[in-house]
Amino acid sequence: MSKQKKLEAIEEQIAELQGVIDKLEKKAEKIRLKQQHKAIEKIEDLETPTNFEFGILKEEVVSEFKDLVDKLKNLINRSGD
Amino acid sequence: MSNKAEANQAAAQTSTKSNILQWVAVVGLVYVILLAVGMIGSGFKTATGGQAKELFEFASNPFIALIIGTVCTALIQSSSTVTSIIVGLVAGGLPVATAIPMIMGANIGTTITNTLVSLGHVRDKEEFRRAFGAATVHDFFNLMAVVVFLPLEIMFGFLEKISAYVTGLIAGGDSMSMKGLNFIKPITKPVINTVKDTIASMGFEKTSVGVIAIVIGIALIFLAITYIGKLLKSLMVGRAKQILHSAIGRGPVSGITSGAAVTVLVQSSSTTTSLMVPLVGSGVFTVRDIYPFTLGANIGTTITALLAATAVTGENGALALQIAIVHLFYNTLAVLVIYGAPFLRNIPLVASHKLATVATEHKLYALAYILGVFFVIPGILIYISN
Repeated sequence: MSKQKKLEAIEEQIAELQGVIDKLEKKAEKIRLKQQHKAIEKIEDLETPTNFEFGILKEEVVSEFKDLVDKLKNLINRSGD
Repeated sequence: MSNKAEANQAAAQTSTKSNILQWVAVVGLVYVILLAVGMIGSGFKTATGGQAKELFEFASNPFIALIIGTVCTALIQSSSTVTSIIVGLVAGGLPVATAIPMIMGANIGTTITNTLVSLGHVRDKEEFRRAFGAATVHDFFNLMAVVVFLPLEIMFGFLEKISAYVTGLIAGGDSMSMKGLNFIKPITKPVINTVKDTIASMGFEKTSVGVIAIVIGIALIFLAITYIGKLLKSLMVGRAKQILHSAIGRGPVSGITSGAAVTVLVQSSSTTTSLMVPLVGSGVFTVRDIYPFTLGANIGTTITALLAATAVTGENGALALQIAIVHLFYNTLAVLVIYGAPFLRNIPLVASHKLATVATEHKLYALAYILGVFFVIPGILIYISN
């Protein structure tokens, strides 16, 4: 097969694949919209959620704060040396 | 008729009765809001003796006024309450120019609620990143609106001028009298006068009567807006779902319109924006999907100030309407300019995405952001200004 023909065959395949990708994307978008409708249907009330999970947040924040203080201490010690 | 059908019919009748009672309560609470706004205006006038401008001299610095609006709203987590109080204060003599940055601040302060809601997703990293991004896109948009419009307002007073012109058209030209809206006065004025007379009969002096009336007005607004919100949340859940269904996959204009509509129905932008946080957290919606809906909430929330303004009559009635119109114009213009300009539109999305990514890795930054934006930075700015 000549180079030109090979190139044409590849281009055809690319176009075919692009068509498949477009179809899949459309299908994915349809599924996504369906999921969104389902999620909205699940809404039972419009109350603002108040499960702020402050416990977990506090734990993580305290531990990060301790790390930060340690780093600062190290930095100060090094600059003292 | 079978027992089951009879039971269903009875349940339907009870539900209808309950709905009617709830709607009656909503109407009653709207009346309480009108009464409360009128009471604040009247109390403020009595307390200051027409010297409101001098009393609020400290807030004539627009940055201080902005911070007052932000912190007050963040503390009570209701921009509707704060804007209604501002309408009442304007009716009592607070200059519109001072009130405009306060309204802008209320817009920033109200974003704290959905940011706090996003903390409910902190257990799961990926979920938290999405939820925090969905919440803070509203923050960044409202911060950006202030960055764009506050300097313009300070330099040109364009919101004050446009709103004065429109108010003049609505309220009746040069006299600025609210003749067209005078039907509210007969149903609120007698009650306000009775309350003030009762306080005065207890031996309080004029200024104290005014201050007590303001306090009662603020308490009534707070209670009425809280309960009206609760009632509407239960009454409007079905309608809100219908609106959301119709907006899905229909582009940004539909998103903005539905966000505004849901907010008008529930009288709370925090409710609308907080509703979206778990939906994005779960991954069903993206931040980009809910962005227009959030902007719609900004427009929808302006209905409360407009409603509050109808409570005010007399010479300051037009000014109360003017500040409510400022709220509507400011939020609508912000959407048109920032969302309308492609180079500005993506800034809140990019900023919220970056902040959410950092905050997911270091929760300390999430907390620092909330405390910093809503309390610490405003506090420092007030301290420096003083």
